[in-house]
Amino acid sequence: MIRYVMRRVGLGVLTLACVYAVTFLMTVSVPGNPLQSSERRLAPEVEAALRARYDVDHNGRYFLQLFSGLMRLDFGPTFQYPDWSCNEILAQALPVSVLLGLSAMLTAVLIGVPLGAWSAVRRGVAGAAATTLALLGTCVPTFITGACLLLCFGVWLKIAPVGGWGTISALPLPTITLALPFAAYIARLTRVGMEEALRQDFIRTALARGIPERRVLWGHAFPVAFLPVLSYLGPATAQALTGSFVVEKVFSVPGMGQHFVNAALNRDAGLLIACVTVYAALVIAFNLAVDLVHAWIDPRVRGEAAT
Amino acid sequence: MLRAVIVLLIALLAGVYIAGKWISPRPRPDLRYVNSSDVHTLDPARMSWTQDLRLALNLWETLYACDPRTLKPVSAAAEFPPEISADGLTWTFRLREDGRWSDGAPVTAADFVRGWRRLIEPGTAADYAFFVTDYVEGAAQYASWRSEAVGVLTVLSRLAEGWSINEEQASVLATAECAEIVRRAYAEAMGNVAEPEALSGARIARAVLAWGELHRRVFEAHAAELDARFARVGLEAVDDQTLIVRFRRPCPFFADLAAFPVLAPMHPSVEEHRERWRGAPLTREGLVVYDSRWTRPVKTSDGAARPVTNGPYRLIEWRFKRSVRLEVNPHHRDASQIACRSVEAAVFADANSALLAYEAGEVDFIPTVEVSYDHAIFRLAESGDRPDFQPTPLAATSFFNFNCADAEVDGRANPFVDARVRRAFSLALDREAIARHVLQRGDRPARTFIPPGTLPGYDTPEGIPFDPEGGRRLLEEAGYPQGRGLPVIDVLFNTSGAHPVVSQAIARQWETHLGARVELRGKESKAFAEDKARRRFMISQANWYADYNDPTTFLDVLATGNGNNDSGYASAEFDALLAQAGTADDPEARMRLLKEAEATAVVRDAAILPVFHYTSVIAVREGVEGLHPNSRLWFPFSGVTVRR
Amino acid sequence: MTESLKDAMVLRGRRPSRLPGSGRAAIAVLALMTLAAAALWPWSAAWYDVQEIDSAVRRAPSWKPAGNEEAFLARLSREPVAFRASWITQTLAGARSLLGHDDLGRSLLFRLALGMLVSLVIAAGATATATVIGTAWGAAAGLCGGRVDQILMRIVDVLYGLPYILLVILMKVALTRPLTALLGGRTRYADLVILFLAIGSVAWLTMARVVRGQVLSLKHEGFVQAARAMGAGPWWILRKHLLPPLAGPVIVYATLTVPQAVLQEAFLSFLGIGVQPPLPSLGRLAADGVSAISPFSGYWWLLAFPCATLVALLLALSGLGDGLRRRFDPANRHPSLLG
Repeated sequence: MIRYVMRRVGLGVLTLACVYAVTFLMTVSVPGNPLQSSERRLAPEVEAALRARYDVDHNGRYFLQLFSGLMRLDFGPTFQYPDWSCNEILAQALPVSVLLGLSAMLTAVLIGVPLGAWSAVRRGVAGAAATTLALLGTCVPTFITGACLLLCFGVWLKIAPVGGWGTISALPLPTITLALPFAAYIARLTRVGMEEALRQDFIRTALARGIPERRVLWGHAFPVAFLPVLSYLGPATAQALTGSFVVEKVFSVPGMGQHFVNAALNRDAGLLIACVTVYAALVIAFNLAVDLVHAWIDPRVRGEAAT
Repeated sequence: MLRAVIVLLIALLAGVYIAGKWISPRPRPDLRYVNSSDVHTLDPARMSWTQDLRLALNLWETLYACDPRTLKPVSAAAEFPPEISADGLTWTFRLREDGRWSDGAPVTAADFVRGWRRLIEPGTAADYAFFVTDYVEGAAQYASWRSEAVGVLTVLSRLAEGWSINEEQASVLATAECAEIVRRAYAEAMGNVAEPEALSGARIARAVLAWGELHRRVFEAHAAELDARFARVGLEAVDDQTLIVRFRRPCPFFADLAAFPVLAPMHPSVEEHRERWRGAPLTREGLVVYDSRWTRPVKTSDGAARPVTNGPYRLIEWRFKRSVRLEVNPHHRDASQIACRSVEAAVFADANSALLAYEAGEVDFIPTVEVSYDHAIFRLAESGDRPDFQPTPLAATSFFNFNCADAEVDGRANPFVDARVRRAFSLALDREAIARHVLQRGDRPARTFIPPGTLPGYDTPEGIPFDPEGGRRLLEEAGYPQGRGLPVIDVLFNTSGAHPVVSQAIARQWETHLGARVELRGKESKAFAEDKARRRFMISQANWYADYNDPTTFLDVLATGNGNNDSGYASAEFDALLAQAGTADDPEARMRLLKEAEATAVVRDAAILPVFHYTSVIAVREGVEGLHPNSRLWFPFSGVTVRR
Repeated sequence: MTESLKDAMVLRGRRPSRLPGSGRAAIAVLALMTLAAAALWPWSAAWYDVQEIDSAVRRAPSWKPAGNEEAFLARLSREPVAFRASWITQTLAGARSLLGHDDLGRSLLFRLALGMLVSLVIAAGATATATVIGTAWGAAAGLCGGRVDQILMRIVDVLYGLPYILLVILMKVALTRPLTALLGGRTRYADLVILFLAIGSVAWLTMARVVRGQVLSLKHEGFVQAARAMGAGPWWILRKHLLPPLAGPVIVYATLTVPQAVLQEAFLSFLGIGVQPPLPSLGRLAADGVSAISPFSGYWWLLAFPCATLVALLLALSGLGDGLRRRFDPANRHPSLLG
């Protein structure tokens, strides 16, 4: 097991390096001048000076410089915000995104799993209502839910602040908005998983042996049904933790999602690579964690994963 | 299994709780306003965005200030008016004796020289460096001497590290002023070796050392000459209170420029943040570079606060993408009279949320309401239902550039090299319909480049009328009867804001009135800028905002070879008129020449297609007094009173 | 045991629970919507961009048409007279204010009809791209196992981490020219193709993971082992034993991809790198609607109709996914990771 984990961590680092290199190649090959920050055109000599200053006059050199920075966990300067370094920006944005992402994932699991399980077990109106709700979660775009929630609770009912980030009361609306699609997906996965699990022979056997229904449901069927949810939780959590552009924009949350998008739109190589590295590291870490838990729960996967 | 899930949930809950502890409410400032997206920089020399400048003009005090009601220069750090020599080329500014930095030290003329010198350094990359280099004697020479040296030192330092250079970079070594040093030192270091390109094998290894040596010599020679060279620039701090500026050509509007925050003074402590190499305050590449964090508010151990500013406010806190907080500078001369003691610029990524926050009373003031339903806001303001929404005409124009220079664009013949075709397209645009029906937010239809009535003393020429019949006639004259023979017209626009809507409306008008086939090409900002810079367009959307109160702030854009002349318009006649105006002594004659210049370029030659002059709605909560709407959206907070 | 639990189990129904008639209802709704949009195509393609800026800018829904019809009929000048004069054309031109007008005075009815087709084309294209690449990739990884599996899945991991927006911009830059040339100089169609390729090129990653997981599970099933023991070749096993049970999860995941693709397109349009104006798409229209609505302006129709269409479409697509799953995998013999 330890060897397996070591191997996976090693592979993760390799993957990270590839992500890093490909992102770098992409940023330098996309047209658009990262050094120009306003609509005024840069004078050629000023641009040459800026290129020298940020070391972007030679791609190989620039890559080495960024990479050696990465080794020291220093992501270097950003072009768009000269007063800040990438590290400082991440230090400000990441805690916000982690807080929002964690609470959103928590909400999503708390809503999605019971809803999915419930709708699989109980049919009729209750199940249909639960399913419809879950479907609505996948079918209404975040920018619509966000705007509607903001209008309802912020403007008309005045029970939530509209004015951005600062108090704990600013947390619920973006959390719900961010959580809804995740919750819907989790509910769907749980329901399908639960339906499948209930049709398995071992459930029939368990019931035939007279084990109480509640125990069969939660002790036998649910762990099997939860497996797909678990696989999904890995990348989903990584995604939630690195922020969502739409939610951050609608609710003025100073998180990482906006940097992800804006850095790409601004061709801000340093910041973009910083964001991508953090995101990729999280994805890899969470996927590893999920696979480990998976292997621990499901013996069938274990043999395959270890090879 | 269930237990594992519960443990997981508890862990998540704990995480949320701990993270929640980081969120703490802030004390409410006297004035809280909306800063669209975050400021890009608080280094005044590097600014070019209005939201940055708005903070800078409260943090720094320039020679003069801009009266927010009249936009005329008034006394600030220096007494207005300056003493001007008979030929108009030498201006003497007398600094006020009560000017104080936020650490209590007096503001001196040398601080201004320091600030302006930073502005023209190539490493600063200031958009507004031309305020000094275009007008102050010797400044352009100094800046280009520095740029050249930076080019040479960059190439040499790359060579010294063993990197290859391309031909373009190699050519820097040959053409530069430093070529002599390069040749001499190179010969000394390498003996009689041929050109740099001919090096190979072991010689490269030796050469790497030699390049390093060469770089050192050039660097030291350059560093030693720095101050002597700068002494030739027409900026002189005669004593602590007297600053003399010599111009290379008359600059009657310089008092206006002197109120622009990029010309702020710099406290001596800023120099401590300069990067140094081999004892000189330059980088290896010869750049003057400051630790970018010098603008970030810090309380040092001895109780002094950074950055040191001389304006009515000082910087207390800057949370990235969240807020910037200012408090009164206790050493400022008016400190005791300023009613608004603290100001917070809050960041709202979404303009709609910003307006909702204003409605909820969470912010007091929005400098410019930019929502997609701004026509509804404008209507409320017009009807008098909401006196707190104040429509304000800006000195800014939304226009389109015709590609006047390239005979072929993307493999298609470009008809717009012909002035008749440009004029035909300009005549066939119903600007009234776009402003009145499409935008509906009080923008004025633009028949000229310069918004009429925004620049004192300037009389706008007769603009381009709406005359589709005339347009068709001109088009026929140019060889395209009923638009036959015209290639598909390619219109490039930026996909942000109202540009897509306006571009679509314009395209349809040309299809209707001229029979042209138009293809719209919307691109996000960077790709748009790239295409525009490479002039890969027939027609491209653009804006221009006035920087100072003089027609040249607009007209210089159309001069041949101007860096912002995206249309590629080149007219000797127009350039001659601008040059004549540049040397004209009589202000009225000067304005007449400029008027003629605008009529030539915009009306006769139709180098650009003006569409509308911006009107912006500002929102000021009732009880907030002293925020005067003006065409630059500059708001000094020191005169503001807030009643809750 | 409660009735419902029994229902949910093999003991009685051998059928999974589902929304009452949801599959069929979804197919009906979807078919109705698509047919309506497709039937309107000749008119919506001609009229989606007719601007009535002097008479109908942001005009509320109304039975009475706005202004004059000349502009509308002029757009059909290349069509036969019989078509122009036909009763349908006249009626539709008269019905153009039914859903209101947008900020250029364009009829929302025709924009919505065309926008739905555009969205469907993009989503279908993206899903097809994702399904083809994802299934092939995932099956290859799962079947080959070992080193090949490792390498293939590492590539997926790398692609997962890449900044999506940059990828879209890059694809746009790289593909616009060749695709435009390929499509005979029509930039707009090239735009659509690039969009669905870009969206599909990200969506296939999850598909590949799902398929691989499924194949891995199936490989250990008795019947596959038995087939292998009896000397069946890998292709035989793939075709006879793996692909049929894979169809269920692939179809379910594909139907989940369709709404995702529609939403992705909306997001990209929102950033200015999606469908180019004046071409409408459901996401674009809904995003415009959201930004148009506020306590100050009552342009409810700009939000309500596109959103209702979007949600109905996505709901129908999801319902369709459910229905298809039961159709393709009636026995539900195999546990699936995704259902």
